[in-house]
Amino acid sequence: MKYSLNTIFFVGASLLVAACSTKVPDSFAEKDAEAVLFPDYANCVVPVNIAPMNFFLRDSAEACVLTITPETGDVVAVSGNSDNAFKIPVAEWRAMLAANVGKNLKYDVYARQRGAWIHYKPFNIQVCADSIDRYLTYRLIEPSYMGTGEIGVYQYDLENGVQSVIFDNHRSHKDPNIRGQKCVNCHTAQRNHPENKMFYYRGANGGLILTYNGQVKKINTRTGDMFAGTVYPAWHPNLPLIAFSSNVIKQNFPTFALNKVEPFDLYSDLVLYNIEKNEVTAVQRTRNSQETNPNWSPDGKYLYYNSSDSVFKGPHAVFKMRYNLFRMAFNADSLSWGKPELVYNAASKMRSATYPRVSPDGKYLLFTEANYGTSTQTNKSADLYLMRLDSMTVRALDEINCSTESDSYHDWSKNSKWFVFSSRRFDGNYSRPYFSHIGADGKASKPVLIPHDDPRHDLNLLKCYNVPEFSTSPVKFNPSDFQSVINSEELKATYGSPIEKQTDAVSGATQMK
Amino acid sequence: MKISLKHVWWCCEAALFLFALFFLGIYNGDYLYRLQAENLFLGNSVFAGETLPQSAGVLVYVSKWLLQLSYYPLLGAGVAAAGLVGVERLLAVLVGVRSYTRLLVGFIPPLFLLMAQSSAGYAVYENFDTSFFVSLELGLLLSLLLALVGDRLIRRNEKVGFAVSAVLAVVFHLLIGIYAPVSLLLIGATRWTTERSKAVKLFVVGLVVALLVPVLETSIYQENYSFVLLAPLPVPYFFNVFAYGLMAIISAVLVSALNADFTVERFEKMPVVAGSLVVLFALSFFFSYRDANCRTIYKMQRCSDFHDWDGVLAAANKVERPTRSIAAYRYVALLENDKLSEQLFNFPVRYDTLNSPYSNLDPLIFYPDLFFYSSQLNMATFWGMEAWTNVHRSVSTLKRFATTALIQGEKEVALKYLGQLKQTMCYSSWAEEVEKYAGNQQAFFNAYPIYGETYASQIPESILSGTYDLPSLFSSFTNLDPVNMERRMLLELYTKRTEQFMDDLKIVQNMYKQQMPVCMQEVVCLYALNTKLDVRRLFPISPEVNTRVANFVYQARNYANDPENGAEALKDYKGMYVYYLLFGNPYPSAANLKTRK
Repeated sequence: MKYSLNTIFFVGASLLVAACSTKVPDSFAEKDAEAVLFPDYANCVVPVNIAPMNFFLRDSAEACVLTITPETGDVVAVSGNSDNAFKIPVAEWRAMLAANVGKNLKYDVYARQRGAWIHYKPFNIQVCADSIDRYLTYRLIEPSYMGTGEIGVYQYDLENGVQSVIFDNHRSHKDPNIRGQKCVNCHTAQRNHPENKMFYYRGANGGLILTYNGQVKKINTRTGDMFAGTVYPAWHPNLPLIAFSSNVIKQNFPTFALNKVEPFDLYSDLVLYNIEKNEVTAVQRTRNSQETNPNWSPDGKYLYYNSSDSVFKGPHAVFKMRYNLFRMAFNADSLSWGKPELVYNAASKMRSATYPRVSPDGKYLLFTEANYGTSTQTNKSADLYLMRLDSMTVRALDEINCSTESDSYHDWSKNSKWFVFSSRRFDGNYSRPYFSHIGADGKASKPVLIPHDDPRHDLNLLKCYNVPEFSTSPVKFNPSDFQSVINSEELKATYGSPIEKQTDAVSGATQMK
Repeated sequence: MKISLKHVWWCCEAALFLFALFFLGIYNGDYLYRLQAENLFLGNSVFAGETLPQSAGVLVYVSKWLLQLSYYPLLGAGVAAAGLVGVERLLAVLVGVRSYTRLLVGFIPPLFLLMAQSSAGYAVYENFDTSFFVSLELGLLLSLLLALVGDRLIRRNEKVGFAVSAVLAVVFHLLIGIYAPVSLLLIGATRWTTERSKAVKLFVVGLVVALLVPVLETSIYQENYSFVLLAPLPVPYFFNVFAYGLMAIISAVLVSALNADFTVERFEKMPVVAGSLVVLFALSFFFSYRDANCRTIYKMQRCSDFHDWDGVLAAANKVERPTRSIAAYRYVALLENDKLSEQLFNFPVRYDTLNSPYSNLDPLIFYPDLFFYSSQLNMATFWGMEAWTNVHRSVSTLKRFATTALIQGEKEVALKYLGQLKQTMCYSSWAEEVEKYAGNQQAFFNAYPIYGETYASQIPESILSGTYDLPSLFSSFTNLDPVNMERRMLLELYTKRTEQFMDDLKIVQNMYKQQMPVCMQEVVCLYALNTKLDVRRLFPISPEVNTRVANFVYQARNYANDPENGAEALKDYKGMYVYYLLFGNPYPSAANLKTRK
């Protein structure tokens, strides 16, 4: 044999290495512009524990090369694939972030156009020492109107860029009766015990699916004379208590408007579910106002929520429903409530403030402000606002609100250094989760789309990310576990508030024993 | 030249190919087009990630890709016909063919497949995966290939062959579903007459794989056991496709149990073989789904996709008892041909319900098109999204979303949808062509005037709609331009709300000072006769119309309580609005049709 197997293997391996190795162009022309990338990661701040921030070059190019030059360590060079996407090797990425905490990574992008190489203006990515919570929980849902379609709650590992299903209705999607509502929604976890989680499975056999102390239960929390089931949850940071709003939600479908759907609450009140007593009690039972979107202060001593004294009076009234932010003191020993305190009056400015979220360090209150309404995910006027709780000063997060589309559904990381929010800024229809770093001065960094192995993922995904929420621990149960609970008998909560006892109509508060 | 078995075999296969090509590609061409329109294949990792992790996911994924070919029905039919011949040929190779009888029975499984492929009917508008058209055939082909491999291995080394076949059945079950264990049944069947104990073993292993692997897959794919068990066959709710698809599998196993020399004396003559094959073809045609109204809807939708409004009207004109869907597409065609007021009621008045076991399909079949061409673009998107989420995602809906976004000037979302369409096989060229118009409405309208007209006819008033049908929606507007006012009044006539029509007519009587559509003249005459208020002088009423209405009313009195006979007796008045008003049933239901009978 003229060539030995070893020779053939060596030549083959060399060719393979040559094909895979990245050759940075020797000669190129300088281009006086930054490369157009998707996602746009130029000049952003990233947490030290984030997965590789892959992206692709939107400019047309026959070939492209990326070099990342860290302040500490070796240059990493990556060739763009046939779709001009850069996929950064995981091991090199992690080593580079670990070695460059608080430093910059310099990105140089080269593209070959009509046979000649060009070099775009370089940009930096800053590696931040503050880590981000490892898991992001969200719901994936079509930007639909009435039907739900395939819908589910997922968790995304931000360190490894892997999505896994918590629970979805895929199991029954081939069922011809799928046209019935089988919504999966309203997920949350307990801040200081994140292994305790909950979500809702609506429709037949549905209920509150609660993971608590290592057990899964299905609970029917609609009890007593509640006009609706429990909807938007807020788990007390330490205690086995979940505050809920109980809402009757309706929708309008404008025939000639950019907002194609206008959700609104017909009625809404607040209730408290005591997990260990399996008991629901009223927090607010009001006839002439709406209360919704509860959120606990990090010490569990206050419950924040948004409330409107407008009630629904015909379809066009939705545009006049404006909400203010309130809070109520909570005594954990006696399980009693104080009177509602106005935290932020948006209605006086003909605006509506919703979805209050207090940072775990207690410094900030992040909320959404829009022209009207409380369901702001489809409202193009919805922007994020930040209140400093020490001074109660409020400012629009202009560094975040750089689009004419809805920004809403925000949540804080456990260290209060990052927040995530859901934005329709990219196309006005499909919401995507962005995260941002809050500096010591209260300024937010450039919003960053969560990274994926395939950088086109969010362009190709035909679903919305709904209610992204951080978590430091994964769900410990698999979908089959949840399914078996769904198939089992529900646990019916009892009602701890006297049905006939009405509320204080002025304050709206139900004074509890 | 002596005609050998091989010659007859080739001729029979050629006949099968040609029959299937004609039956699917020409007779069912509109149906094949609809199947691909209700299908979606996208060349990206997200779509693969959503499609592959389901029972028989690989088979479904490949089938969705192949179904795109049916955009050109003859091409799709050609591939399908070749596949049917392939099934027949592999089945023959598995056992061998040494008699005419054995040759003939080998055509039964592909003909069951053909019946399954052509029998979806109205299921295409339901929560139904139209890629079954390919997956049933491709699955059986793969099953036969696995059986061939296993059979040859067992012949060489029984234990190894047996083990490999079982492992392949388990592994392939994850990829192609029920067709993997069917391969064991096929191998077992080939040994039924000669090695009964081995056949029984193979059957047992095959059944164990078929029943137990789905238990594992329920956790992998997060699906209910009943869905995994027979995937990719549709659930029995879609009975025609399910039953014929299952019969194809069962008949393939049964045919495999017949040895190569299987003979029934009377079939061992070439003319009898030919005649029998023709009978088999005829039976498969006869038992396939051929509902005339359903076929008409396929035709109308295909014509509508290419803005061939004359084609839509020609299809409608062949119908004796239309459904609401047919009437809706005819309405759209008349609207686009500017003949609505002239011809809306020149149509059969006795409507039929959909001959379908599936309920409430109208919003899925025609609402998106009806609202779109009526310039109710938000509602077109609404109903499109309802179909997208409630039943299935489809390339036709995706194209509708993209078109609507282009018309409404929503650049980014239009680009998103066009980016998806560019990943399809047959809609990519359109997407590339129109992409340049994203964000430039006027240029888009110049290139596609029909969309410019759709945009211009929008009603700049936002009704906060619930789920109104078109007549109810038009009734809700308070301030309409003349074009839309006339549409509203015609819809009032369609829904027989003549009093509302007269109220509106009083408001816009100046619109009809010079000319008035005949159907409206009839209502004015009827109103004058019924109320003694002679409003006829306010409008240009033709004396002929007046006389005909008076004659109709006079004669119709005899049939006040006998509409069935009245419709027949007064058939000379067909095409007049008053005839429609008295005898038409625009909202047929099974209950009221039964009452009428």
